[in-house]
Amino acid sequence: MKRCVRCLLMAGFFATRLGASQDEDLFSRGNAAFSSGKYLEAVQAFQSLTQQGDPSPEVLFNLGNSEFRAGDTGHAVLYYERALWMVPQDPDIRANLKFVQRAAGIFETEGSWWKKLVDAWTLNQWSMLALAVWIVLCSLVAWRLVRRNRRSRLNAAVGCAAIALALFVTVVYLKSADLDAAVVVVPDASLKVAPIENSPSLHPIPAGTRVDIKKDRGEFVYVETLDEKRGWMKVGQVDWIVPRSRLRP
Amino acid sequence: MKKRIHPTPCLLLCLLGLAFGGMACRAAEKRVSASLEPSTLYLGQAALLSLVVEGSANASAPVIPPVDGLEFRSVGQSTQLQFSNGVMSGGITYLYQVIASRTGDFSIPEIAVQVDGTNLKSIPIPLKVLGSPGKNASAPAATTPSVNAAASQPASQASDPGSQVGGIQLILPKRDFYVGELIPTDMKVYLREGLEIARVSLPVLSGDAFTMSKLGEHPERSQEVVNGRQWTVLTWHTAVSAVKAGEHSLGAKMGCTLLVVAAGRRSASPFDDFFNDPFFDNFFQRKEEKDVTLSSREFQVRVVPLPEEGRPSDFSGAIGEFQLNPPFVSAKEVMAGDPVTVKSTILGTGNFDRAESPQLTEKSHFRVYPPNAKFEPTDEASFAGQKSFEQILIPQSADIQEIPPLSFSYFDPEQRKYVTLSTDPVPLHVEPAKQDHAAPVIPLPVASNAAPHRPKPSEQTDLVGNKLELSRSRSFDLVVRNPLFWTGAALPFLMVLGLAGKTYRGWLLGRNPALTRRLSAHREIRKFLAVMEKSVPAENTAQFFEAAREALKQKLGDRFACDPASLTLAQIEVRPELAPEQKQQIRSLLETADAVLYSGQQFNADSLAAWKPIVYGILKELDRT
Repeated sequence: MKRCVRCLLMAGFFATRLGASQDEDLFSRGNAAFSSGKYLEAVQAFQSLTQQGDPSPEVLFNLGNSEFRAGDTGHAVLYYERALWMVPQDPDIRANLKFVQRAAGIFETEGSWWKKLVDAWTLNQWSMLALAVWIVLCSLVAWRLVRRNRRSRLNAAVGCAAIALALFVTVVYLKSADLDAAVVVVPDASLKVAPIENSPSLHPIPAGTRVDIKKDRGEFVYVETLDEKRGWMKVGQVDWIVPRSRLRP
Repeated sequence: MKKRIHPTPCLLLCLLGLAFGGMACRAAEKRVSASLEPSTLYLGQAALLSLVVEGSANASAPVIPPVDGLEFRSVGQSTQLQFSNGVMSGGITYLYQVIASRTGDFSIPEIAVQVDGTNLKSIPIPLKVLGSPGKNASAPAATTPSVNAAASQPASQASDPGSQVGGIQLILPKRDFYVGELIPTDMKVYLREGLEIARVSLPVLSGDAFTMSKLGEHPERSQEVVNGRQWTVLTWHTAVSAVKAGEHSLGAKMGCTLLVVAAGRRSASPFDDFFNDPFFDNFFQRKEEKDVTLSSREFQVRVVPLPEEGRPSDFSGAIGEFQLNPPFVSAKEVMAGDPVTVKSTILGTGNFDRAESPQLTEKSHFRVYPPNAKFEPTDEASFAGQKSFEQILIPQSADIQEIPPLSFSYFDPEQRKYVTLSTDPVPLHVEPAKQDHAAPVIPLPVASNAAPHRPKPSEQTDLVGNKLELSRSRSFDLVVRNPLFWTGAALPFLMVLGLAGKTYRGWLLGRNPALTRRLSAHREIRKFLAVMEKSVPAENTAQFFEAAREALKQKLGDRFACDPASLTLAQIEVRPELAPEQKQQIRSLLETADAVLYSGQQFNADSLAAWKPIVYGILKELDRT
């Protein structure tokens, strides 16, 4: 019995190592193709890594670089944004995203201090922080119920924890707006008046522009740009930063 | 079915009859007149024919003789009755929409009406119909609204269920549009005065060939009298635009929810005739919601495409009348490679949503980025205003002397031609770029993950290189969708809830000593009864009776609200609340317990088992009394 368990553990360990080494091999091949100027090959290598499961931010970052070099600004911005969703503090990703946006003529205004604060961590990190503060708050309240003396200090602590919790829940709420964020991935896209094929166009939207999806009507989505332009776009013209498949219950 | 006769209306009718009968009624002079407005119109427009019968309200429906090239559509009628200096005068006004199918001079012939048995006729009226549809597009704005007003007279649509409630009137300055042209439009919604309206939705256009600017939540509100009836009028100043060419019908509709008196209010009873009077309805009514749809009459609109001939290459679809202001440039002296912001402004009237940024007539020496636009409307319909554009240009060479002229093209529907506006060139001094500005773009090096020097975004001339080390993969999944997250949040909450419940219970008991004593007594009794139960199989007589005595004392202490330890048999004997049989049983139990305690009397298991129901019986009896 012990021998069987040991064999199974060993098999699992080696299977994991084999999978990891395959990923590393593919990652190295993508980098080699990129260095030799074969950007489409690099895109294919990195994309196959993203299709195998949850990607690492490095894969998305390199994929963004490869897409930009291959001339696809829209997808380059999309992959940088996805990498930033995972590691918002990474300065390399931020720098390349800015660079690609500037090259595409997209000049996003500098965000306010609270926007920078919200963007410093991922939604999951803010959620976990809110959970931790919630547990602390509950513990303090429980202690306050049990303890009969020094209640004034406990009251102050409970008040602080409640304020912190309200703050973090607000941040989670603000940050969750990013779940509707998408990137225009095709060139020559434009905002339309109505969700029909031959509807007149309102504004041209360059590839790589970040938009917020306000309504989803199957083939068309109603979007709003950062400079408050609104209109309809075909679903294939934009892609969500957080893939839709990960948000469906 | 028996017809009900309402007493109140009958009484009113009798009074009116007496008043009419008693009055020396002298009829006014009977007369029929006709008027036409306007008397000249363009093909495709409509005129309003009013036929007024004066002196009597008892007239037959007029018969209009057919006229070749003209069509008469009844819009409605209104009846007026008035008394002045003891003289009764009445009248009926018949309204017709006159639509011409060809151009020319027409004469609307005499129209015969039978009034109180007399045949009266109106005089003929001339009508001139002008033919050019092109001119029709630029027809005076004042003519058509009155026609449309007649076409969608709210009070006259008796067949429409919504018409008893109200109607919609669309007022457009013309009926010939260009595709994409924005037409300022007034949307007037008539709601009958006195109705109880639960809610209304915003009006929408009924045709699929048109779009309308967003309507505001707070329309203008006014009162109007139409056909002698008071109406509340909601007016939106909006704009309509056609999306496809051709002949299309245009109308508007809106949903409205009314509060109406529910039918079948009471069952039949001898007092139905009395209580079904509307007077009582106002007091005892039960109301229900009823949805109705208000609509305007639809009319034909001709939408023509923009001409291909003479269309400028930079035409973006702007239609209207615009001006282009001289551009504002952020810097007059720059280095090659430095950005310059050019701000241009277009103002006027038209479809600003299609007005794109003015284009540089020559941009080969500039790197041009897409502009940011901002529109500031000066009217509610976003028809007039100004649109500003900020565009970043990067001069690529030190040879540049000026920012070339900007040009903007639009289509003028009044002149029916394309117009191109241009600005003057703006002088610009460009210095050669410094060494670091003109750094050639080098092939991208593959950098390590920890780059020692990371340039600022403004200084960055190329991408930061690829990452070489692969870290663990991250998931897009959200932790808030993980059940463990919510379990982690729920557990401390349940803990707090439990503690709060316990604290509250303690607080509650602290405020109620009787309840505290009772709960404590019950707890102690349960404990002693358990000891008693255990003593039976063990044949522990002393323990059995000791436990029975204590259980009994606890029960009596609770009952008499006193300390159980201080209770004696003598005290129990004098309590008036206990029946003599109860006192007897208690005495027997306590004396046996004393005998066991002091004489060491022993019982076997069967005897102790026989004592058990006695003890339970005493306790139960004390509970009951």
